[in-house]
Amino acid sequence: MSAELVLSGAVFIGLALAIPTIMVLTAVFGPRSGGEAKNAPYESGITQVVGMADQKFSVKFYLLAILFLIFDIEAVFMYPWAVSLRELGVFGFIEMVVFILLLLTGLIYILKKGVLNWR
Amino acid sequence: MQDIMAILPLLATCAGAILIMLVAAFETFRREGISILGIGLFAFAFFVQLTVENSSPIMPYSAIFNGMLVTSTFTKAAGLIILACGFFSAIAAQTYFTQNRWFVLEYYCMMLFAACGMILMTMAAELITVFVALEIMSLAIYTLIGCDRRSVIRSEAVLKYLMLGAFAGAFFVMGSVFIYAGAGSTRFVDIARAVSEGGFIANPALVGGSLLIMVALLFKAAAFPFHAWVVDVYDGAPMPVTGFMATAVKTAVFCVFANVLLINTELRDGWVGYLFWISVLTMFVGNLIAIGQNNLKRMLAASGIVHSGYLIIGLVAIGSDTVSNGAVIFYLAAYAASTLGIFVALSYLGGEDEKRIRFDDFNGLARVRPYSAACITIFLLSMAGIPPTAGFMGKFYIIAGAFKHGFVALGVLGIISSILSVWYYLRLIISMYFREPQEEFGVSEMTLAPLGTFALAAAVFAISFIPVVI
Repeated sequence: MSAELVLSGAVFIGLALAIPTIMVLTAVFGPRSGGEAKNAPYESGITQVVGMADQKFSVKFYLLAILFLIFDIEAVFMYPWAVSLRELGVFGFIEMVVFILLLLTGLIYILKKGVLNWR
Repeated sequence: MQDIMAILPLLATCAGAILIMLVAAFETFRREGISILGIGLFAFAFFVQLTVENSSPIMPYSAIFNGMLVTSTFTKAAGLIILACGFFSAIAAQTYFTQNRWFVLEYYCMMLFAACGMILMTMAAELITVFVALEIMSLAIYTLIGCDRRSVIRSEAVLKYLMLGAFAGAFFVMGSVFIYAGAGSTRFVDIARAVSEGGFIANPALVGGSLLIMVALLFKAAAFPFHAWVVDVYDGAPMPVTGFMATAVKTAVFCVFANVLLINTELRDGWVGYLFWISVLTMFVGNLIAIGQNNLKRMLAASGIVHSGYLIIGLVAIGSDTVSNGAVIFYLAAYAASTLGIFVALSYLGGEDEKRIRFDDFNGLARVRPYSAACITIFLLSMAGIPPTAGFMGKFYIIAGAFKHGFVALGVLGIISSILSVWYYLRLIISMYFREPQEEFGVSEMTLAPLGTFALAAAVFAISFIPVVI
């Protein structure tokens, strides 16, 4: 057992004990206040929850966010490539062309599937 | 250039998947056309894999791509098994879709992507590559399980598998982090060097990391403490997908497992004691689950757990000398041929919406469809390990390997488990041969699946002639 291991173990165990203790102490000694606004599920925004939780709702934003993420990562990936383009040479260039073409096929696929049509 | 040549089968599979994706997007083919295309692409990738020159001996580490990947006869054989599994699952799927009247155009695309991940996984020689391959494979398999979106049971299966699979993936990444902290590298070769220099037990990060990785691999291999998902997920997946999962995924996972254990003898010896118990418990718990089942698909899922147990026996003895790799890959081939055979047969005998699924539903099959019943009997006998079949030879090599390397108790327990398993395999044979038929077993259109079943029945015998040195 190295000293670091004992020390880090002590820190973790200490945290694991301290956090629940503080939570219990807050619950016991802390001041309490009620009120209609405070007990509502959301304090602002949706003030009234309508319907049951199993109703259908649109996932349009979610899909777009996922697609955005893919092309965002593509853009991020191009920065380090651009910085070291000279060292990588033709090989690096071909690699990047292949990568972008693969993403392009993905883009063609989602376009043909009509994912980007806002219905 | 040599590197690119070595991964040609991977590139062929991947290009095929992208081709089908585009074809599906433009809707140039309907169901039949795209099925034929999918089957053809699997066959093409199989022949590419067959022609890849691979002269290097079975193991450690003829590295390509700066040690990121390895190729050997071991990975080549695994690639061949995976692509053959894909080919026959695609044949099964073609018939299955004809019979069940639902179809998604992207089905074969996802199958090819899954195969792509699996091939990458067998070649991976570095933890991050293994993780990427694992996720490519798993994500494609999740999609395949849930591709019939109207069905509740499929959704349940995919949810269970997705949640637990994500856990397993997280365990793997966490383990990689620990190992990187302990060994200073994620490459298998460098980890081996770090272990042999610093020792395994003396380094807590390595112990913890390999424990976490072991958890992830045991989960994917459906071994004892992490086997509970198997029965529900296999039962919920469509028939051809279950066959693909039970065979190809298992092949890929056991290849990685073997590669991880082969890293270093010290690392392996640290694990052999535990793997002994895991293997014994996997075999007997799997048998207990299988004996209680009334549903054929659930029985096959449980028998998949049992076969994982036998494969772990092979892994315990692995690396004591390099050739016991041969026994593991032989067993995988034998198991794949017989299990996939049953699933291909069930894809056309199961009827619409898999209505024939219990043992009793197959009463008297031998009177009505004698050839199909004979094929199923061959597959079941092979899985039980009855002599002239590949399953017997596979068990023989594995158990003989265990005896040779001094694991006598393990070998004996393997034989006992194998005798126990005859119980539930024979039940189906009795139903098929000694009961009166209650229905016609009408099949809408005779398509490729019966042919595939006969080919696999022939393969069960053919594989047993492949020589393995133990």
